[in-house]
Amino acid sequence: MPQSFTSIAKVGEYILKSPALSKICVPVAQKYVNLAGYRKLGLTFNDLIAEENPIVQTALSRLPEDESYARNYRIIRAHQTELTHHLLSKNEWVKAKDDVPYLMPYILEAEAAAKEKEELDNLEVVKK
Amino acid sequence: MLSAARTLPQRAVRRYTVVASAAAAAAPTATLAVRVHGGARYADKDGLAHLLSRFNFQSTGDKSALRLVRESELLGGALRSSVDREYITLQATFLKESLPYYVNAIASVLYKTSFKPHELVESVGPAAAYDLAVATSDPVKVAEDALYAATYRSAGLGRPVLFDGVEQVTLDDIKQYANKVYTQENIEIFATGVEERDLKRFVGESLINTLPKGSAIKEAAAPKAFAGEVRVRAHGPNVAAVAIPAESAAQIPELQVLKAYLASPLYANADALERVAFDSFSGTHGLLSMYVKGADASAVSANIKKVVADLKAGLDIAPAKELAQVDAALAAQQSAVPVEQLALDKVAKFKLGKFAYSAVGDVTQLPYRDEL
Repeated sequence: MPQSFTSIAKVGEYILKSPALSKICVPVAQKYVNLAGYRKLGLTFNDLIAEENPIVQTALSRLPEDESYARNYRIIRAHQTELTHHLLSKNEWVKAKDDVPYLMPYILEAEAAAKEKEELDNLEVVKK
Repeated sequence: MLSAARTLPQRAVRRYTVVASAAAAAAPTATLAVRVHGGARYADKDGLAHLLSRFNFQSTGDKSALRLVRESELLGGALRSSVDREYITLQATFLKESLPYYVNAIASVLYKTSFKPHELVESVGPAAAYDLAVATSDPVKVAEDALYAATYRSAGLGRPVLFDGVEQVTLDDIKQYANKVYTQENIEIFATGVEERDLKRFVGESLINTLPKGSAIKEAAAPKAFAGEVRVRAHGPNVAAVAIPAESAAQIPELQVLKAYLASPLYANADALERVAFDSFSGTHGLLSMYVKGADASAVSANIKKVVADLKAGLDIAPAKELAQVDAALAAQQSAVPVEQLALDKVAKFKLGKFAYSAVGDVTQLPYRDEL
């Protein structure tokens, strides 16, 4: 069973809340992002999430129109850049402040709804 | 058997009206209805009230729509939200012991509905489209809407009840409308089969008590009625319909009795009428409508001409007085909201004055208003 986004977000929050842990983890995360290099292709982190499952499909369908358009544009541009074995010019790289989790709130909401449905479907009613 | 609904003495303290009737005290079920003066006539945009009504029982601050429905199913209750020209009604039918749960459920719907953007697209929109599809497939319903449009034009009552997408409605419109109509002054709470004391206590403890203060937007003045005509070309059965407006409170009992008369065997041509209905608004105005329906347009024309000729000649409707009273008593017994009592003393003879006309179906074959 793959990790749910809810649990990942929870761990992330826990790390950011504790000063000691965030002192270790945040620089590692930043190093990882630089090495992964997706920002040099004009992508943000949420563009990398695998979308071939019902939860993310639901989240994508709920994205506002402009964000959905921007996402498609970024993905197509990245494909084209990759195909021609180029990186974007440096001024077009995604800056850290623009790498926002635009899709994550929708995914978390869809996941919470799916979890709630699962629980309610398997509810056992006890008569007091 | 039938105890009259009473108004609570606390009314001055709490602004909203709370009425409980202990009718059918032995039955295990109870009904709770919250009536909001927020129907189609009060909305600034066509269909806004319908969408708001469909947003009731969607996700609220503390509960998702799914959880609310599942919990309610486990308790053996049912939730319903309906809209008409005058009211948005939130109704719950349940076993008596779960009264506090349903008071709180309805209170949180009024107070804390989240109005999530995706719900408008994924659940509210399709549900509203379904309502519209059901209504437009029924020519009598189409004729009714046409009669209201012909009688009241675009003022309040003449507007369509259901959302048809002709006028754009955004989520913000719905939110603003909810804030405008879901106020303490604008709602009335009715219940049957519960103790008045319990109801008052639970309502007092619920979020209904903290609903924002606003103003009652109830419209009591009778709008101007026109003698109009609307013709709608459509597939399916043909309907010819006539509406008689009540423009003052004095006309209402007369039309109530006329309705009972036309629907009963007392009237010789009662078989020709598919449906007779009377809607009363604020006790000061209303609309009586009658419908002739059939596959054969010439038979429909002949029948509507016969009915209108009878009405124009004048009918002695006094024999139907008792029938009207029984109808009213029956309606009062079956509904959670009180039905106005009738004062029928003066009713004797009816002669047709101002009327509106609508034809639906093969309109080339159906008569015009001035041919009736």
